[in-house]
Amino acid sequence: MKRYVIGLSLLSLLCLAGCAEKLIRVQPYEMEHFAQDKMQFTPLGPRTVFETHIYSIREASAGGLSGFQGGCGCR
Amino acid sequence: MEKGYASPRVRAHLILIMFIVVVLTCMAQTFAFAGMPVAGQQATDFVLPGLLNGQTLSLKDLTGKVVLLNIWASWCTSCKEEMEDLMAVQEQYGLRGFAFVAVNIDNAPASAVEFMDRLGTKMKKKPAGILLYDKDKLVPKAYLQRAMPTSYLIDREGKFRKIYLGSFSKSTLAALKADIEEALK
Amino acid sequence: MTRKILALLVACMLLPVWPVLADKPRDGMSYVFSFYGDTGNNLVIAPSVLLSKKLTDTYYLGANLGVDAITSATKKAPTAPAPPTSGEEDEEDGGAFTYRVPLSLYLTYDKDNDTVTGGGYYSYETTYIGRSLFAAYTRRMNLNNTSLGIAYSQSFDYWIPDRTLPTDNRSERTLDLSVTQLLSPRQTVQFTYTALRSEGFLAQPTDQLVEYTPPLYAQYPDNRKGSAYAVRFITLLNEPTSLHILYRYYRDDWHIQSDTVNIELYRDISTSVVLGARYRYYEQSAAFFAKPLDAYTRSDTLIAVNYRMYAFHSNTVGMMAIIKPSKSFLSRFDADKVKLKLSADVFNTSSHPNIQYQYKTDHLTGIFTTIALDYDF
Repeated sequence: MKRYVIGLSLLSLLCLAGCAEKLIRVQPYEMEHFAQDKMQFTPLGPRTVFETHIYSIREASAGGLSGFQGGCGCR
Repeated sequence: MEKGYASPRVRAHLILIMFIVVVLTCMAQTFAFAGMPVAGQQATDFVLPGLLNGQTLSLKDLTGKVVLLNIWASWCTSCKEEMEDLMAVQEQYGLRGFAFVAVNIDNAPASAVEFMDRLGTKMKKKPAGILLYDKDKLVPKAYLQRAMPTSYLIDREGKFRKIYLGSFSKSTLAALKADIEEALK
Repeated sequence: MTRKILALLVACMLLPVWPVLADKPRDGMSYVFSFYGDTGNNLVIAPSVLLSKKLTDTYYLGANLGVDAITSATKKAPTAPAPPTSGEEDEEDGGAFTYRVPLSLYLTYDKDNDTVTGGGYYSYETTYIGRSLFAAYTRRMNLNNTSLGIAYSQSFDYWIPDRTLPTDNRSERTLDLSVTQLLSPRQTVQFTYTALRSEGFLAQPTDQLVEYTPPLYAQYPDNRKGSAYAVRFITLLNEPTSLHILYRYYRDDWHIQSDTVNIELYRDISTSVVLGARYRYYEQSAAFFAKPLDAYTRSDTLIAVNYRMYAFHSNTVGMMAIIKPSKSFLSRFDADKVKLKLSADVFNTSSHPNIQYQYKTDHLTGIFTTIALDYDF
């Protein structure tokens, strides 16, 4: 597992640093769909928070549900 | 070390690697903005229909005026937030040979039209400026737009004077007005 | 006191209310009402208010305040046989509420491609104090096609039990690393790695085997290390319909491994209504110290009573709705700034003897609902 973690991290490093231009797959003016609620990772934020709490006391697992995303990119 | 999870040392390495990735990918900015229009370059002409009416307009029709070309969308919150301020700029400088041109790039115009209607109701007057609709996103593609929204200040000869990435805040709006004053001289 | 501690079985103790970071922090408020109830006679009524206020062009202040009313009837808790009485029936305690007050405050710095959030969480109830600090950083790159995120939280909780525990402390730290990448104008994917580490008294103080005199209380190892690996994928199937798929794998040094699959479908019914449906499947293995309840003896140093330390699976189905009220309905407000979010989910665990032992029902079925009214300033 340790090798996989380091290997994946190095691969990410190479991809992100060397292929940055190729990772621009969506232009800023093409992000209309990602501004919609149904295209968010957590369309219903309060439900996500509440059910995370519930599953933490109804199950023995946790994690893996980070909410970070780029969204529509409008600044 | 127990099987199945990363040791503290590996986790520390992971965090360091993520940090390096972040620093290195800062350099991606230079690639991202390559090819964008620069000041002094002639703005590519376009012909677009009106957003609220079918009347077409081309950029060439505005030669002799200082133009602020704003590319916006109804799904872009910051685009909508600055619209009232930019229309106020049109009212301030409109009689001196300034034109605010708002080009909407929604896939369908209904939301943009509804927004303009509500804005007109809120401002208690017709939205100022020239409102155009670019369904095929010809202008963002031609101008290699890299942010939403983006505004282009174009001089009386049709050349780019300045490009503003992102929306205007109170402080950057003052700077915009100073640039418009300079361009109108 | 026992009832109050039992109520903790349905109380959130550890997790801070995590601000969900989108492209820009919100400038608005949310009024949220959440409800949970299950066949173990656990009830939680949780109203809360969330505020995110723009202070300057780059700083936002966030606050979440709630009051959780929690109840658990005593009849679900196994108790020792009552001593002979005069024949009068014992009055059954049931359904009294205990209260938990969670509060979190956070500050967000958001400029250009960087978003940094830092804050703290505190919750109070008579038998448990929850405290934590958290920080998160998101870097957007490649014209917002790629996002890297790192988040860290550290809790410093402690019990206030009515019996002496080996330690009253309970702390947990989590590290989240995530990468989000847009694949096309209609698809996006996210990878998340979470490292969790817990220390202190990690069992429930009231979990016990009552057949023994005195009772044998649950005792877990005093530390736990876990990792979760998740991938999430969203695709627009057609203009009005999106599909969300999540898979998470979890494992820890208690030998618990789990798989979670969550599938959600959303569809625009009209310009102002989005409906959704979801199915979630969860399956886990047992902890290394989990034995049949009748196999424990006083010589066991590790004892599990709660079914969560055993192998089981569960299914959840739910419906969701996002509604933008019409202009005519909200003539005094800007309809663009108001949104109503509704959800209702039903989950069902598999049968397990430990559920029968603790809750007098062979499996748990529960429902949780959320109603949230969002208003943007």
